Amino acid sequence: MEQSVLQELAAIVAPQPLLTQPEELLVYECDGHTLDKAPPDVVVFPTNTEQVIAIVKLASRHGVPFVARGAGTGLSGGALALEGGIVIEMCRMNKILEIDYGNQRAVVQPGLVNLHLSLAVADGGFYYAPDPSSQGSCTIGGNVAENSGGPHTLKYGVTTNHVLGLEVVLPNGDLVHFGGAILDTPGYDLTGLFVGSEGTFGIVTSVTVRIMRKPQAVKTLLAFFETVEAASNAVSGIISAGIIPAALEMMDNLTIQAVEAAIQAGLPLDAGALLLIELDGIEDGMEADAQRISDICQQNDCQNVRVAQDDAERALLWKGRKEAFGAIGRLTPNYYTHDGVIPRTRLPEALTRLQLISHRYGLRIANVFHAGDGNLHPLVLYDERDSEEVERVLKAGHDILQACVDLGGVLSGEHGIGLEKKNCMSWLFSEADLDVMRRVREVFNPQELCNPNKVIPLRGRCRCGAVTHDDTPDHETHEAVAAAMQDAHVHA
Amino acid sequence: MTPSPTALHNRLTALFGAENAWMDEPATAGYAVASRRPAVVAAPCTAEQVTAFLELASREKLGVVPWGRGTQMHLGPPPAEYDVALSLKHLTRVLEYDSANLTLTAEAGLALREVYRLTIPGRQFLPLGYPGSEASLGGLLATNTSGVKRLRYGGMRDLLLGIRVALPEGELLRYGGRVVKNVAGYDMCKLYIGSLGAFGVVTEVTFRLAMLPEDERLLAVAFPTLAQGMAAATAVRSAALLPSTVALVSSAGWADSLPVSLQPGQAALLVHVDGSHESVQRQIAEGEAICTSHEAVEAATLSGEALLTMWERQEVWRTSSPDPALLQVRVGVPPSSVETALGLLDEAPGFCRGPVRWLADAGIGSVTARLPLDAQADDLVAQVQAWLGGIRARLDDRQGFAVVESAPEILITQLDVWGTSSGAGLLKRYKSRFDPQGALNRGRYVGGL
Repeated sequence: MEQSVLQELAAIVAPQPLLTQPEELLVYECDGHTLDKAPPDVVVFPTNTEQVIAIVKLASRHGVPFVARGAGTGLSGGALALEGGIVIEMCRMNKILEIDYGNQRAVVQPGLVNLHLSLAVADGGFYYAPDPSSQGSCTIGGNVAENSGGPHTLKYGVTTNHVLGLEVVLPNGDLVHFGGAILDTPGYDLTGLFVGSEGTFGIVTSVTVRIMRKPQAVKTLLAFFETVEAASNAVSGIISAGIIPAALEMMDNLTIQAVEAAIQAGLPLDAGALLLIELDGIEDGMEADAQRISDICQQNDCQNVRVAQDDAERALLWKGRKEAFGAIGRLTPNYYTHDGVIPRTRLPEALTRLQLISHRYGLRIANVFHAGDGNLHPLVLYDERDSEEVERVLKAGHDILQACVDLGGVLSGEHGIGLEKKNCMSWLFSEADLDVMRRVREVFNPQELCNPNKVIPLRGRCRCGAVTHDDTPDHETHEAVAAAMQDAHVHA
Repeated sequence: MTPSPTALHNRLTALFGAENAWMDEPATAGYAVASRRPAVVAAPCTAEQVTAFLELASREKLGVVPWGRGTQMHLGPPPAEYDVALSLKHLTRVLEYDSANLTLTAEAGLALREVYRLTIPGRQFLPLGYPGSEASLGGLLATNTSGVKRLRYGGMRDLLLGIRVALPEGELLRYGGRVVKNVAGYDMCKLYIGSLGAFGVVTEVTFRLAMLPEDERLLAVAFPTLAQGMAAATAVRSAALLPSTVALVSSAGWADSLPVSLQPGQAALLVHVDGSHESVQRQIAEGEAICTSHEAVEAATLSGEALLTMWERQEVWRTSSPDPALLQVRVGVPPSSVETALGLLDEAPGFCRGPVRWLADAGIGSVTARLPLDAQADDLVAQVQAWLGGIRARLDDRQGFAVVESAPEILITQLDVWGTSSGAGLLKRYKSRFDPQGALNRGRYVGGL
């Protein structure tokens, strides 16, 4: 990158420093997806919206690619500076701008850590529902980009169901507002389109989210099974009995062993699978629901059901679930997490196929996942120093995703496509489907500088399918976009 | 140049067969939007036929109005061009009802009540309207209609999982999927929600379903004043209850439907709760206690048939095509501003010939109001325009909006029905990108698209 651009960048964020030294950039060469790495040329830490606008305008003017980054916990390479350029690190913009209990909403900056919002509104009797396992470190802005989920999304929905409005810096530096304080404003649901666009439509500088009243009562159960099949059948049994728990999570034996070693919660090491089931809502009737769940588990050859006796025990059980990925680190130097979704009733087949894949490639696969909504998280254990093993991990990952699609599912439930699964998109979508998505992206991001080459392969750069498009810029679109952005700016 | 009706009819007969293209008077009259009638009505049998037709329409620069079951065709100004009514009456197949995974995939012309018929035996439902709803799934999507139980079960944008959509340039695309959690690619489904068919014809939809509750009750409570009813509504929302609806209704127009009596100036609170028997009992008891402490005049609890009837009346009233002597307006505001919005709407303006009837969803922040128009009023159009402008100006401070949902043709053709220009430029660019010939619903959508 030219020295003059760096100087301009430094002037925008002064006195905040830039990071440009190779050892400083090491942290930013990847996110939670560690198989691919690409360092940016520079990392910059804006502290307000005006600085974000100035940085984006500078990048646009000089044709420099840029990527917004939150806590770097993403698992699909979404925050990777694939083509170098600028990483715009949003973690300094981490304030809560407004809490409106009466209308059950809050306005926050994108760098706010997810859990910090729930903590801030806890005394008011509220919480923020989407709870990725990384919620102690991941940011709301990153959640918006990825449309993140979490264990409690079974009942309460994912990020998009909790975002009312967005302030966005478009890739040309214009500031626009989508949605607002209320639902159903006439016109396009641009908020809904933006959430989950993985940083390719612009940079969020403020988010209006729903906050929810804490449930009157919560009950957390653990059920242990000899096999994952039995546990899967219990999952189907619970849902078909008309009970939608707040969370319905599964761990297999490998994960149970790792978690027990990490937190000593008294989990039986010989159990083939466990279900973590949480009920919440009105106290009356909850005991009866818990008993029905317990009965359903017993009918499915459950070994034992344990009910958390107090908040401390409940917290311990959840700690085991939320830190399960970390606990797997006790078993292996590296692991590769997948995120495919299948219809819930296909769980037994999916888990059998995962076992076959594990045997075929001689790799251990641990499973800890959102069973209630069929969102798998197979963790493939490996050692990155063994390049032959890394090859097998990639092939196994390919087969895992293929299995999910074969079973009527999709590539990702909450981690995003990013860089990682971009070339698998053609398994789900036709070239015509993808092309319309590209055209939509071009409306927002005509120069392709904003998080380039993510989510959908660029025209003509698709490695997996037939090359049917060229790289010729679409002038008509670009002119239309320029005018559109002008309008959006005027109305913002 | 647009072909003559006869030539067009011949083309469509060739595409869809003689039994699925009509140009006779009774047929076209049934597809009138205000006083505009199509030259031809066509009813394709497959999504591929819809796509082939749109390609033709785009090429021939025809004006097309997609038509589900016609329950909300009064939304938006009448079409600027209306050559063909594209009826989805044959697209009513259920493609997959996966009860174990609580999902349903069906063609867009299927009526919601057919979904109820299919899913009730398995104790499941699609919470986008009442059990007898005639509306089609595609129509609900295109008009962004959510059910009155949205507070608990979510709305259209929460329940839609996937779509198949035919674009005017002859592409038939699929977005989303059939699983409840999905972040593979951009969330393109959102582009079609509430788009009034301006950007493509949705031919197939996948929704997530909900389990029917074990029990449900509706608590109806009369309050001496709107302010007291509103305070009770706020208290109910703030309590640890999980109502599926918290609504207020006006004294005007609701007397026949309510189990409590209302005097002019009073208001009734409707709290709909469902779940297990125990939780419903607890919530009704707490709801009653809250209302008593807010000086309720009278309270009654509905269940069974009586509850269904009340639920149906609420939904039908909100969404049905009213008579031409009425102006129907929908206002969106943050829930804490519902009372302010009602204050604005309830003062019957000079062009009204009677009290304003309204239904306010205090949980979501949505008010539907019907104003009986005085046909003798001087300069009705100017009066309504001024009144609407005033309402919008005052709602702006509260981040609210007002949409005209129904009005006599003389008004709806002259009023700014949608009233928002924010992002209109972006919408225009989309329209020109995805419907360059303006084939679909020309002139009906936000910004005159």
